[in-house]
Amino acid sequence: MDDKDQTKAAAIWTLKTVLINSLKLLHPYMPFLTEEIFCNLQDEEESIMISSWPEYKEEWNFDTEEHAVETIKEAVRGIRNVRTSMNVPPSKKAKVYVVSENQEILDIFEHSKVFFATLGYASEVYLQKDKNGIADDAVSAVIHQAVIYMPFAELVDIEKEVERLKKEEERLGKELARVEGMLNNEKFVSKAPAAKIEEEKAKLEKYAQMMDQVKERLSQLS
Amino acid sequence: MKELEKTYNPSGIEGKLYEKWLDKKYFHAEPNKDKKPFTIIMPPPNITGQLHMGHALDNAMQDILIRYKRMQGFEALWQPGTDHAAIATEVKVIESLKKQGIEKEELGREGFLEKCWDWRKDYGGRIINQLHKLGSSADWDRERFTMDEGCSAAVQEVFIRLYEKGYIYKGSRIVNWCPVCQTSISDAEVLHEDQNGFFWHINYPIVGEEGRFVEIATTRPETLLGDTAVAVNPEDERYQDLIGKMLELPLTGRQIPVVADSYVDKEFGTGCVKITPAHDPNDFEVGKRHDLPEINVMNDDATINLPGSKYHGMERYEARKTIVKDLEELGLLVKVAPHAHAVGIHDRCKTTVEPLVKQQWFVKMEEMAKPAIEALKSGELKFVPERFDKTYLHWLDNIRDWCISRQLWWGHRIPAYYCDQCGEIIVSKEIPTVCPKCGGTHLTQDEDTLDTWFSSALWPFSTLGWPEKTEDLEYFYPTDVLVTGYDIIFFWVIRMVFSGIEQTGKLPFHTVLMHGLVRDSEGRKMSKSLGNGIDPLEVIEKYGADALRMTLITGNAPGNDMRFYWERVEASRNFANKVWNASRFIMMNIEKAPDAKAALSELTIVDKWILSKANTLAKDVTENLDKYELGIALQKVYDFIWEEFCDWYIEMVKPRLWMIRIRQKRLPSGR
Repeated sequence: MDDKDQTKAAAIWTLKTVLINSLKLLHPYMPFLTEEIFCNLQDEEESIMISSWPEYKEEWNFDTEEHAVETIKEAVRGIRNVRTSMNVPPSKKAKVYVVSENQEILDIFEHSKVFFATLGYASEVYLQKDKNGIADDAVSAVIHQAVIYMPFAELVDIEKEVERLKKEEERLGKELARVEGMLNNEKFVSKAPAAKIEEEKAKLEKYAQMMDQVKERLSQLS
Repeated sequence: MKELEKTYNPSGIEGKLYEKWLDKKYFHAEPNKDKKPFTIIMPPPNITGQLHMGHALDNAMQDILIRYKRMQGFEALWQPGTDHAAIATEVKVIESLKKQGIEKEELGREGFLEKCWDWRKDYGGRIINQLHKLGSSADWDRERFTMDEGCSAAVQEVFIRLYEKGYIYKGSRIVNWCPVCQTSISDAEVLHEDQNGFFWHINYPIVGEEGRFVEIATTRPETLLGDTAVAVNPEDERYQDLIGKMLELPLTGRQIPVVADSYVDKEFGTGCVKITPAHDPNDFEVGKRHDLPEINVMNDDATINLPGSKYHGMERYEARKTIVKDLEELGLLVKVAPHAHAVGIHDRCKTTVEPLVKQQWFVKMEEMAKPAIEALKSGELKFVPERFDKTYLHWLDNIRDWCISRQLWWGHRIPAYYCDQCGEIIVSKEIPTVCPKCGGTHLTQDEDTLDTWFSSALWPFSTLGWPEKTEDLEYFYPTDVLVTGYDIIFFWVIRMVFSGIEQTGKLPFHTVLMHGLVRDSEGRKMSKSLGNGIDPLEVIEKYGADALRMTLITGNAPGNDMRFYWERVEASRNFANKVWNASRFIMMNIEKAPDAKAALSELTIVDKWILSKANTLAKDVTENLDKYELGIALQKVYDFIWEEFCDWYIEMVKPRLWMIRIRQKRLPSGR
C-alpha cells in the first residue's frame, strides 16, 4: 500500500488543477458559483474573473493513458450493467476476471487494479489470457478486445435467491388464479366494461410472462 | 484551506460577489497598449424597459463573450447604456400625466420635457439594476444615454453632415401616419396584418358619353374623395380610346382624367385603378409621374377634411359607410366582394395606419446602402448564423428613403430653423439669429424630433466619444461583436452599419451574433396579454442568476427561438449543486497545496487521463467559443465536470485519498 501513498500528492494536485481549470471554463456561464468556489479553493489569485483562461498544453496530452482509462471505464460500465440487470447490491463484491489475448490490454488492467476493483465492486481482480478456472455459469460482459467474467454464485446468494423466487412463484400463482377466475366468470365478462376486461387480460398476460421468467430462473439455480 | 458553506445558496453569494467585482473595478476597461482590445456595445435597453427573458438571454450571451475574452487577456470593454426610446417613453409619460389629470399640451414643450427627464430619473435606472442581478460585467463607469450631451452632439453632427452632403432632405412624401399617436412612423414600425375586408366596385361615369362607365375597385372607398385620376395600362387594348378622357368623380362634382401608366396590372380586377396621390404610396408615385394634384382629404386624426362637403369632419370608417350608401343610391355601386388583404397597423398601438402626404425629413438611402451591401458580400461583415445574410440583403436591396422626423417632443429636436420672413431653412448646431438669405431675425426651430433609431444607429461610436477623436475611440473602435435579436436587423443593425461606414469610414463591428426569442414552454411568445411571461428576476430569486444563465444558453443554437421550462432551471441548479458539492469534497481532502513538481512526477494513469481530457476540453471549448457556439461549449463543460470529473475521476481517486486517512488513523494504535 505504500507505493500508493506516494501518489496521494499527485491525486490532490490533479484534483485541484482540473477543478480550477473546469471552473475557469465554466466561469463565463456561471460567474458567481465559480468565483465563490475559486476564492475558497486557492489563495494565489483574488478573482477567477481576472485569472487566465486555460490553454491547451502539449505536455498534458497523454494519449496512451487516455485510451487505457477509457478501456477500464468500458469494463466498469459492463460490470455495472450486468449487476444492475441482476439486481446485485453494491455491497456484494465478486471476483472479476479479465480475459484478453492482448497483453497490452491486460497491462492496462494491471496498472489500474486498485481503482478498477473499487469501481467494479471486485473482491479480487484476475488477469488472464484464457478462460482457465472460470466456471461455465460465470456472467460475462464483453468489451473491446476483452471479456469480463464474474462467478455467478458470487453475485447471487443461491439459497436466498431460490427462496425469494419461490415466494414470487407463489404470489404470481395466486394472482394468476384470481385473474383467470374473473375472466372465466361469465357474469363478470358480460357485465364489466370492456376497458376493465382488457385491463384484466393484460394483467393475465403480464403475470404469465413473469411466471415463466421465475420458473426459468429457478430451474437454472437448482 | 477555507471551507465552503454546506449547501450552495446562490442568494447568499451573488450580491456579495457582484459588490466585490464593482469595488475592484474588474469590469472597467481603459486603452492599454500592452493588450488587444475586445469590445461589445450593449444594445441599449429602453428606459421604459423592465428586464424580460429576451434581455436576460441577450445579456447573458454578451457577458459570456466578454468574460471569456477578458480571461484570455484582452482589454475587454462591454459598453453599456440606455435608450431614450422616443415614442415608448412619450406614451408612458403621457399616460402617467393623464392619471394626474394633466394633458401634455397644457404643460407645453419645455414643461413636458421636464416631466420626461424626471421620469427617466425615477425609472430609467431600473433596468440597469436588473442587469446587475444577472451578473453582467459591463463597464458601468462608462454608462451612456442616447440623449446625454455626447450622444446628442453626435446626433447633431451626423444630421448636419448628412444635410450638407445632400443626404438629408425635406420633402413632401407619403408617410405611414398613425392617427392615434399622431405621428409618422417608419416602414419598419408597420405590421402587416391579414384582414377580411371588401372590394367595393364603383362606376365612374365617362364625361360626355351617357351610360358609359369605368369600373374601379377599392378597399378604402372613402379615399375616392381625394382621387385625381384613373389609370390604365398603356398596353391595355380595352381602354385605348379612354386615355385622356375625363370622368365624373362621384359625390364630388369634380372631373378627373384617365391616364396611362405601366404600374397598372392589366390582369388585376377591371384593369382600371383609381389614383389617390395623397393617400396611397403607389398612387403618390403615379401622381408624380403624371403631375397630378395631391388632394388631402384626411386630417391627422383620420377624420375627413373636405370643407363644404357632407363628409367633412366624419371619422374615416363612418365616412366609408356613408359614401358606400350614397354611391348605392346613385346606382354607381356595382358590387361588394369580400376580399382578404394585408392591412398596415402600427406595431405599438395596433391602429390601422393611414398613408398621408406630409412634410417630413428623410435620409436618402441609395448611396449609403451600397457599401453596407458590399461589406457583407466581401465577408468583412459576418452574421452568425449565416442565414441572416438574406434578411439583411433583402432589406438593403429594397430600402426606401428613411423618414426620420417624428411629431413627438421627447427626443433629439431637429437642428433646422426656418426664417419666418422668407422661409429659408438653416441647419446648424447653434441657434441662428439672422437669416443668411434675407437678414430676417425671426427664426423658428423645426418642431419635430428624430426617429429614436437615429441616435441608436450611432451607438457604437457615439458612446466612445465620436465626433471627438478620443483615445477610447481610437482604441476600442471598431467594436467586435454585436449580439442582438433577429427582430431588429432592419431597425438597428443595418442602420449602425451604414452610419458607421459613412461617419467613421469603418464597419462598426465585424460579427453580428443573432439570437431568437425566448418562448414559453408551449412555444408561444411571452406577452403581457397572454400573461405567460416569466420574470427573470423571479427565476434569479428562486434558483440564482447562474442557473438562469445556464438554462438560457443550454441547447440554444444562434438565431433559433427557444422554449423556457422551469424543469430546465432545476436541472441547471442541480448542476450547480453538483459542482459545489464536488468542490467541497475536494477542499475537505486537501489540507494544503501540494508541491506541483513532486506531484507531477507521481502522476498515475488516471491523473494523466483526466489531465489529458481537461486539456482537450480547454481546446474544444475555446474553439467553440471562437465560433460563437456558446451552447455547445457549455454542454462540453457540463459533461466533463459531471461525468468525467465527478462521476469517474473523483470516484477513482477516493481510495488513494482515503487509504492515507485510514493509515494515519491506525498509526497511533500501531505504536
